[in-house]
Amino acid sequence: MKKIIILVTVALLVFSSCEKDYLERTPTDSVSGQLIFSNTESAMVALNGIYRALYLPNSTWFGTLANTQQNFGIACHNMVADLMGEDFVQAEQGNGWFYFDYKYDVRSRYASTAWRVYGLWNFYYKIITNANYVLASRDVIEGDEAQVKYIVGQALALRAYSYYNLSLFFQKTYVGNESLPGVPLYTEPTLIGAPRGTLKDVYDLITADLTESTTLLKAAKDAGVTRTHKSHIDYSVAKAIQAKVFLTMENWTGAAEAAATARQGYTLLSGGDLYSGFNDIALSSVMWGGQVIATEAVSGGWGTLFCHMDIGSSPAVINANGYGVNSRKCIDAWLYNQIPATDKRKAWWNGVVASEESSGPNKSYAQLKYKYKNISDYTGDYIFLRAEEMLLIEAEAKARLTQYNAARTLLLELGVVRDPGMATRIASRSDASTFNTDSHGALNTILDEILFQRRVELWFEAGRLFDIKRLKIGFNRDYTGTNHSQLLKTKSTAAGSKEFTLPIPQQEFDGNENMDIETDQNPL
Amino acid sequence: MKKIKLLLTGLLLVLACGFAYAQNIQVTGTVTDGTTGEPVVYASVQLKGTSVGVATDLNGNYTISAPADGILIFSFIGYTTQEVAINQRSKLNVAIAPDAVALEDVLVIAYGTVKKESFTGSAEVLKSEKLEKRTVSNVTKAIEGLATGVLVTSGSGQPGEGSSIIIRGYGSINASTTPLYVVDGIPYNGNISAINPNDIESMTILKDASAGALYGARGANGVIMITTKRGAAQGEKIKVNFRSVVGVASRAIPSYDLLDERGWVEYQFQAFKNEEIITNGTNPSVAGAKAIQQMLTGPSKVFGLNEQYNPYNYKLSELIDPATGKIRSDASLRYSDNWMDEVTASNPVRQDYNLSVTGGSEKAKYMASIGYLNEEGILKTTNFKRYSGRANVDAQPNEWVKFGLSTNFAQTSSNFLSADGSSTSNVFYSCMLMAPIYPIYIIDDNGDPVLDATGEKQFDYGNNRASGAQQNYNSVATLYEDHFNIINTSVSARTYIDFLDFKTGPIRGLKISATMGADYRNQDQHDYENPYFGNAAGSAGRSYKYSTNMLSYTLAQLVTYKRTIADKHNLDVLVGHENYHYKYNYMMGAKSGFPFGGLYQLDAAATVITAGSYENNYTIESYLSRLNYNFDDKYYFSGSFRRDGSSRFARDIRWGDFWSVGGNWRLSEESFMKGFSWLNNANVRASFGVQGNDNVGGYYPWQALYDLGFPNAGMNGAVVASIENKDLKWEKNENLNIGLDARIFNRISLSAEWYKRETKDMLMDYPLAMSTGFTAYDKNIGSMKNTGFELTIAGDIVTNKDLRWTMSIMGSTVKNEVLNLADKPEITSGNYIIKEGEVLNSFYLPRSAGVDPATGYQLYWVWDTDSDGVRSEEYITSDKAKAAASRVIVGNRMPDLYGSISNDLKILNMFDLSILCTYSIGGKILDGLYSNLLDPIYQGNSLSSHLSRAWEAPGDITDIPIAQLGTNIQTSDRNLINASYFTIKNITLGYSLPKKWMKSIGVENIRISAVADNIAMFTYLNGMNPQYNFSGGTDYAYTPTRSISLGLDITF
Repeated sequence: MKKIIILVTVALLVFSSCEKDYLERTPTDSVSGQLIFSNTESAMVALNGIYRALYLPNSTWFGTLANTQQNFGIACHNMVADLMGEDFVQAEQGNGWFYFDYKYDVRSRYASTAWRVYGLWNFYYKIITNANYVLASRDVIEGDEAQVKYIVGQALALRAYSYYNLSLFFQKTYVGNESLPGVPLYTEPTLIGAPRGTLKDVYDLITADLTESTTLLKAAKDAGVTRTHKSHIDYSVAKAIQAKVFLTMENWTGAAEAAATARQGYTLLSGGDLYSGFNDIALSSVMWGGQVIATEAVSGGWGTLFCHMDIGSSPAVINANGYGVNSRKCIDAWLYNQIPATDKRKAWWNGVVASEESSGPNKSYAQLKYKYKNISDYTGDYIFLRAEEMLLIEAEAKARLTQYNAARTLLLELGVVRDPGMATRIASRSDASTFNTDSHGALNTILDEILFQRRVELWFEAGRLFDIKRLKIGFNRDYTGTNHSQLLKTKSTAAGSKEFTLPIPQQEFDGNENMDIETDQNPL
Repeated sequence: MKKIKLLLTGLLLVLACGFAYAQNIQVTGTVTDGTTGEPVVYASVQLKGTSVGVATDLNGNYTISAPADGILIFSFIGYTTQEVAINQRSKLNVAIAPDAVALEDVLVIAYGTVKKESFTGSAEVLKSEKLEKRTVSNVTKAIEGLATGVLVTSGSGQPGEGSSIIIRGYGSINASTTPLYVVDGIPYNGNISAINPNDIESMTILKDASAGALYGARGANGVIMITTKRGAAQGEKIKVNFRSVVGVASRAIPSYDLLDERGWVEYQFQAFKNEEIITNGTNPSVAGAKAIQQMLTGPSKVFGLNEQYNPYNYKLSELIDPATGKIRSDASLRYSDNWMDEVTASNPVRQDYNLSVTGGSEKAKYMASIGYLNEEGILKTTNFKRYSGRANVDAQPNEWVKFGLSTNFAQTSSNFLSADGSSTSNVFYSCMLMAPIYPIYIIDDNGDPVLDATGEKQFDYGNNRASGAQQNYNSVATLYEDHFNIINTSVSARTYIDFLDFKTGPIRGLKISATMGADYRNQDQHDYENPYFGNAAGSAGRSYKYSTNMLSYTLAQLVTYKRTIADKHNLDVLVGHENYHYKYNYMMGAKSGFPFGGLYQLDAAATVITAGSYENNYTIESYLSRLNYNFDDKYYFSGSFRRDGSSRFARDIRWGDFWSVGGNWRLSEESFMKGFSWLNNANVRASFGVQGNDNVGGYYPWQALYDLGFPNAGMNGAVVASIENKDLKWEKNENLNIGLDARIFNRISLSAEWYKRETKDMLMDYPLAMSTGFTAYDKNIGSMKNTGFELTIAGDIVTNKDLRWTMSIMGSTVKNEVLNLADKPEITSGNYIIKEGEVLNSFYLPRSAGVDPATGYQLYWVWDTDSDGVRSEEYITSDKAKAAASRVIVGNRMPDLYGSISNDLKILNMFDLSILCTYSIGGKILDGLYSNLLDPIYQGNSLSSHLSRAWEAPGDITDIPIAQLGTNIQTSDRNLINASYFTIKNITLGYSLPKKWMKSIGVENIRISAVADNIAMFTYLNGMNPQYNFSGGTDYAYTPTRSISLGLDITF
C-alpha cells in the first residue's frame, strides 16, 4: 500500500504545474510598435524599413501577390509610366513582365491581385500607412529635438510623395481637373476606409505636408543634423519632391525655387560617370536612391531593375540570363534620331545595328544606360532622383515664367557636360512659353527644347506618361520607321485618353465602405 | 461468493502464477471456421480467469488441462471470441465465426475506447486490411473512398507526399480547415509520411462534436486518429510477418491533348495572319505573306534565328501556302521532341519491405517492426526513401500498475522538384507548355543532334526561342544539374502509466493515468543550383541550407471512474488536465560562388548571400471531462466538456469552452422489437456540441507587430506588419449529428447520417480598404453552414464456402452556405467570390455568349452602370473590359454527390479480390492549365488540340474564337469544366497458398498479391485533374501516379 501511495504521489507530481506565463508567447523576428517609437534611434528603424520598401523587389507585402517579378518599387513605377508613353520600347515580350503595361493591357485586370493596379495602389498606401504610424508617434519619440524634426520631416515627405504618385496614376493631371475624384486620404493610422474626395483635397494635403516637411528638415539641417545615407530624405530631397509637385500643379515660381534649392550641393554627371551604368548612388548628381549591398541583393537578380534593364552588357550578364537580355528595352527610333551626334548621351543607346541578334546587346536602339554594377552578386543601386531633373524643372519653370534667358543659361549648364553643340542648338529656338503638342513634331521654342531634353536625359527615370498627362498631349507609336513592338492601333492614345488613367483595384472596393465600385471606379 | 472467488483468482495470479488446480481434466478438441468448416490454425484456447492457454496446431487441434467446471475462451484474429463452459466434457469441438464486424466492436475515440453500439457520435473506422491494399507511401492517400463525409485531393505525385483532407465541408474561410491528427491517443505534430502505413492498425475519423469535442481547441475540423499495431494477445504465439511490395509507376492522368507540329504551325500562322488583318489593317490578300515575315523576324521570333526551330524540311516561305495557311503535303519533320516525355521516367520502381514481430506474455505484450521504402518518382531525379522502426510495448507487472510505450523512428529522404507554379524551373509548367517545334538538344540542318567533343548530345539553351519557351534556359538540363533534397528525421514517443485499475475491491473502476507524447522532427533541406547555366549561372552556383527542428509534447493527467450500479446503470466518468507545447526552430544560410561543379556544401562557396533564424512557440493548457452513462445497454448518454487556453490569443480572452452532448437508443434491444427477427441491430443516435479552431493564421495573430526583415543597406529596418486585435478568439463549430445504424438479415449493414455544421465567430481576414495599408485583419466575424447526408450500405451478396462477396457503397453530399460576412456581404478574390447566401469560393466570372459567327470574336453578356449605379439591360459584346466588369456567380467546385463503391471477394478460400472505385458528381473546375492552352500568353507555348476547330470564316459555328496573338479572351464561364469523375482506385488480387502446404514448412500463411493502384480516371477533359484542390483550380503540379505492384506476405 505504501508503494501505491508513493506511485500515486509521483503520478500527481507529473501533473504538470503550469507556470503563470505558460500561455504568453511572442515572436522572435518581430517587435511591437511601442518599442520601435521609444526614441529617435529606434524610430529610424521604422524609417529605414520604409526606405527599403522603396526599392525592394519581388515583395508581396509591398507589391502584387503574384507576378512579383515586375515589382521593384519607385523605379519600377517610373518604368511603367515610361512604357506607357512613346519614348520607351519593349522590343520583345520575353517572359511577359512589363509587356502588358507596354501594350496597355492591364486595365481590365483591376480585379486581380497579380497585376499592375493592385501593385501600385498597395505599394503607395503601404508607404503612407507606415509614414502615418511614424507621424502618430511624433509626440512620444524621445530624443534630441532636431533629430525628432528630422524623423517627422522624412515621414511627411514620404507621405506626400506617395499621394503625388497615386494621383499621377489614378487620375487625370491636377490642373483643370481639380474637382474630379481624388484618392482616399489618411493622416493617421485607421481601419476605416476613406472616400475619394477630390483631386484638390489630395494636392492640398501634398502641398501642406511638403511645406511642413521642408520646414522641419531645414530646421534639422540648420541644427546640424546631416543624413547618414543617400536613401534618406533630407532637406534637398524634400525640396526636389516639392519641385516635381509644383511642376505638375503649374506653380512655376514654386517649382523654380524648389528645384534650384534642391540641387544645391550636387554636381551634374559628367565624363565617364555618364556611362557607368546608373547603378551607384555615390554618383555626383544622385540626390536620392536605394543602395543594394551584396547581402541584401536578390539571388539570381530576378525581378530587379537591372535584371529587367541590362540587355547583356557583358558575357556574364548574358550568361546570368536576366530578363533584359531576352526582352530588350530600347529607345524610340524617332527620339534617338533627334539626338544630335555631338550629344554624349547618344551612346546611352545602340544606333542601328547591322546584324541584329534575337537576344543580347546586338539590337538596334537597345539601351546601354542601365547596367549591373556587379553581376556576380547581382548588385546595382536604384536612383530615385538626380540633380539633372531639378535643372530641367527649373528651366521649364523659367521658360513658363517667360524668363527665357535664365532658361537658356540652365540648358547651357547641362550642355557643358552633355552636348558641346547646345549653344548652337538653342540659338535656333524661339523665346516662347508654348510647345509643339505633336510629340513627334518639330522643336521650335525654347520650351520645346527643354521638354526634349527631359525626354532624353530622364529616359526611364521620370515617367513619360506623367508628362504626357501634364502637358495634355497624346502620342503615336505607329509612324514610318517605328521600332515599337506594340503600335496600340486599337487603343486611343490621344490627349486625355481614359487609357492614361488606371482603374482602382477591386480589393479597395471590397473593404472600403465609403467607396462603391459602381460609382467610384475610374472609367473603364 | 463470486466476488471472493475473483479476488482469490487475482491473488493467485499475483502470488502463485502457474499453480494448477487440483481437479483438472484433459480437454481436447478441434477449432474450426464456422463458415468454411476449415480448421483454424494457431487459434488461442484459454482457460477463463487464468493465464493458462494453448494454441491450436496445424490441424486446428488442441489439448488443455482445465478444471471440469471451467470455461474455455476461444479466440483468433478476425473471429468472434467465444466462451464455452467445459461442463465435465473431455472433448470440445468449437466452430468460431469469422466476423468482419467484430473488429469494429471497439472504437478508438478521444481519451479512450467505446463499444461501437454505445457510441453517440459519428466516427468511421478504416481498418488496416483496407489501408494496406493501397500502394501508398503516405497514409493520407489511402483514405479516399473509405469513409463518407471526407473529401480528399489527389495529392502530388512526388513520392512521399500526401493528400489534403477536409471532413464535412469547409470549416473556415481563412483559418485552417485541416483535421487534427492524433497518433496513439496524443495529437501528432510529426510528418504523416514518417508513419509507416504498415504499422497502422486502424484509423478512426471523428466527424462530429460528440466524438471530437474533447479535442477542444483543435477539433473543429474533425480528427483523424491513427492507432498503431500492438503486441499479441495473451497466449498467442509469437508471430513474424514479412511483407514486400514491388511495383512500377506511371502517370495516372494523361497529358492534355495538344496540337502537333503541323497543327501548331498552321494555327500560329493563322493567328499572325489575323493579327495583320485585324490589328494592323493589312489587306487580306497580302496578310499571309506578311504573317510569314512576322513569324520569321517579328518581336516574338517564333522560329528562332534563321528558322533554326523550323521543324520541317522546307523553308517557312515554301512550307506554308499563304492563302490557305496549310502546310504542304510533302513536308516532313526534321526532328520531333516531346519535352514532357523526356523528363518522365519510364517504369520507376517502388520497393517496400516490412518485417514485424508481435508477441506477448501474461505480463507484457510487444510489437516491433522495421520498414524500408524506396520509391522513385515518375519525374526523373525525384524519389523518396524511408527507413522506419517501431516498438510498442505494454506491460502490467501487477494489478495496480500498467504502462506502455510506443516509439517510432523514421528517416525520410526525398529528392524533389522545388519549383512550382509558372516558374521556368518547374518542368510541369515549362515542359508541358513547350511548343512542339523546339528541340531539347542542339540539332543541325538535318535534324540530327550536334555532338560535343566527348560525343554527347548538347542541351539547347534556346536564346532564340519565342517568348514563353524558356529563352536562354533548358529546364531538362537543370533537372539533372540542380539538386533539391530534404532529409527528415523523426522520433515520436507515446507513453502511459495507469494506476489503481483494480477489477475488484472498494476502489474498483477508478483509474489514474499519466500520459506523455512527444514528437521531434529535424529537417535538413539542401537546395543547390548549378554554376553552369540556369538561375545561378551569373553567380557561379548557389547553395541553400535550411535546418529546422520541431519539438512538441503533450502531458496529460487523467482520472477515470467506471462502475456498474445495480446491474443496469453503467457509468464512466473522466476528468483530466493537459498541456501542450510546440516549439519550432528555423535556421538557414546560403552562399554562392563555387569554383567548379560537383561541390555542394557551403564551405566550398565564396560569398554569403543570406542567413537567418527564428523560433516559434505555441502552448495550450486544457481541463477536460466526460461522462458516459447507459441504462441496460439500451439508452446511452454521453457528455463532454473541455476548457482550453491558447497562447495564440490575448490574455483576457484566451480561454474557450467546448462541449458536447449525445444520445443513442438501441431500438433493437427493446422488447417490442423482439418480433422482428430479421433486424439484428438498430439504433438511432443524435449529438450536438461545440468545437474550436485556434489555427487562425500564425502563432501570434492578435499582436501588432513590426517585421524586422527590412534592412536598408545594412541599417536595421522594420515595417508595420499586423494590426492588434485583442478581441481575437476561437472560431467555433456547432455540430449537430443525427444517425441511424441497422443490420438486417444478418447480411446488410446500413448507416445513415445527417449533419449540420455551423461555424460561428468565424475568423476572417476581415477586408479593409486597401488604402488603409492593410487588405485585411484577423477578426471573428463571419458564420458559415455545412449540411450533408451520408449513407453507407454494406452487404454480403454471396456467402458460401467457395465464394464470399461483400460490397459496400458510400455516398455523401455536402452543401455549403456562407451565412454572414463582414459589413460588405461579398468578397471577391480573382475569379472567386465569397458571398452571403452562396457557396464558399463560388466562381465569379463574366458569362460567355459564344463565338460570333460573323467575326469569330468571343462574345460576352454584359451590362452598363450609369452614374447613379443603375444597371442597364444586358447585351452582348466582344469588349473584354466590359466583360471584366459584368461578372456573376456561375457555380462552384462542391460536388452534388460523391463516394465510393467497393467489392471484396474471397474465392475458394485461396483467392481474394477487391476493387475500389470512387466517384464524384457535380461541381465545376476553372482549369487554368487548359485555359492557357486555349489562349496562351506567350507565342512559344503549346496549344490545345481543340484550337483546330477555331473560327475561320464568317458563318462558322464553333466554340473556339478566331486565332489571335496573345491573351485576347477574358476568362469566363466558358473556361469552367464539369468536375464529375469516376475512378478505379484500386484492384487487388491475392492468392493465399493452401494451409496444408504450409504445415510442412512451418509457415502459417503465405499470400501473393498483385495490386494496381490509381488505375483509371474518367473525366470531362483529358489531362485535367479534378481532384487538384477543393476550390476547383488547377496548377502546374507534379502529376499523380498510377502503380502496378506485386506483393508477398509471409507469416511464421
